[in-house]
Formats: sequence, C-alpha cells, structure tokens
Amino acid sequence: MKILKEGDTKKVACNTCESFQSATFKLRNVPFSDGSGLVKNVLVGVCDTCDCVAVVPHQSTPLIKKQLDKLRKPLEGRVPSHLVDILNLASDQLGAATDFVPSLIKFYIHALSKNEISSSNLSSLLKTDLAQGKATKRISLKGRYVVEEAELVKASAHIESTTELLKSVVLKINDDILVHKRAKQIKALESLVAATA
Amino acid sequence: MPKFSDIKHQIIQCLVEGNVLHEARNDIDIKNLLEVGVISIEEVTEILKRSRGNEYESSPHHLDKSIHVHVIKTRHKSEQWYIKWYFIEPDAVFISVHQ
Repeated sequence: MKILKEGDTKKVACNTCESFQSATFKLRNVPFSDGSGLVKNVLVGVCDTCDCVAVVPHQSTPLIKKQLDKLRKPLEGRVPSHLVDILNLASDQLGAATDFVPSLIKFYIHALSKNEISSSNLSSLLKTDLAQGKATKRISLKGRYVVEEAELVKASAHIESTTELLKSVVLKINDDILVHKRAKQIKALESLVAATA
Repeated sequence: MPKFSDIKHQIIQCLVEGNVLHEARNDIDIKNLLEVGVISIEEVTEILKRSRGNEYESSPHHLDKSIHVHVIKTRHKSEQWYIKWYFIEPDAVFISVHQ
C-alpha cells in the first residue's frame, strides 16, 4: 500500500468549495457522518482553501474501524437458561428461527427507549419467580444504538445493571408474546420477521 | 464512455497497489463500507473482478467535466453492491461503496 505522510498533498474534489483543490494530509479529529462519535488524530486530506476534510486515505481505515467497533461494543449479560428458552419460544411463536432472538430483544429495547412500549412494569417483573435462577447462559447484542438505548431504558425503569435490564426485557417479551399474546406487538414483530427473513 | 475493460483493469490495479482514497464531506461516511473497514480491499477487488460491462456506467464529474465518475452496480454473494469512484492518477477516490 502507498503510505502517505503528514504534509503530503494531492488534488481532490472538495465538496465544500465545489471544485477540485489541493489537499494537504494532516492529523485531525473527524466525526462520523451519523454523529455517533469521532475518530481522534486520524490522517485525512484537508482542503488547502477551505480547511475542510476532503478525503480520507485508506491507510486510516484500521483506526476508523477500531473506533467504530468500540462505539458498537456489545450489550452483554448472563441470565438463567430458562430466559433464553423464553426467547426461543417467542421467536418460534412469531414464525422465526432462534437466530431472530437478538433482533427481538433489540426491538424491545428500542421500543422501550422511545416509550412506544411502557417500561413502567420492568422492575416489578424482576421480583417474579421467573426472574430467579442461576445465570448460566449469555446474551450478547451488537448494534449501533443498542448500548445507548439500553442506558435510556435503565434510567427510565430505575434498573441498575445491564443484566437486570436484559432479564426484565425477556420477562416483558414473555408477558407480551407468550402469556398475553398482545396483538400490537405481535403484528409489528411479524412484519420485522418477514422483512428480515 | 470509457472502455469498461480499461477501467476495470485500472481500478483493480489501484486496489492491489493500495492507491485508495475515500471522498469526505468533512466527516467519515459510515455508509462507505470500504472506508470504515466493514469490507476489505480484497473483497471489493473480487466484486469488481466479477462485474460485467452491462453493470457499468460512467458520467462526467459535476465539479470537473474532464474527470469521469465510474459506477458499478452488481450482485455478489446474493448482495447488491453499488460502487462509485473517480481516478486522479495514481489514485482511485471512492465516493460510495455500499449495499
């Protein structure tokens, strides 16, 4: 790979100047386009006319990927095995295979964080018999927003730990899908199953 | 329109030699899957190697009509890919690499 150094220059399109300009490679803190964070001290081509970042050399990609992976760290917790059975049964009820389980939990965390599903009874679910048991299985969720959304739900439901949050969400899924078979949630999830099948 | 086989040869050469830049609009485009490392240079090379002439388009760059923008829309491993770039020798500047 051709390695660029700080101070090297190239002619590239600058979308701010709306013309081709000379750009000098410099270390900058550059944000992600979705506003989810920024990459610090990364080598980029800066337009000599407007000082905007016009180009990113591919040698900066490993640093960008590392930062993106850090932002997307998994949401994890250990739970009793019967809670994983509940998730598998709920997926089956929705006409999906067990690989739908992460999407099912993320759907709930998202809806709870947006108050589309009420989080008011989450902490009371943790006092039920089904919340008890030795934590022998791991739940791990990856996604761009799941960690942030989980924090919102923890705050609104007054739940301290991620593990307790995951347990309460599974019990909420049990309540909605398997026990009360709530049509609104089932319909929305069936559409998600169809879209991701 | 530039000859597809010449363009294909040139882009693969840029990828193999690592003369690769990504266009930026003062930020890091998370939709550019090559820029953020979701897909590797080797995988993009493979996708472009398998692409055909009827999947290729080109048009003049809106900021400089003497520079061509190249687009390949192709299927690879059941995924639709959209890859767009221009050349400023010796580099290929990728505008989009997304599904």
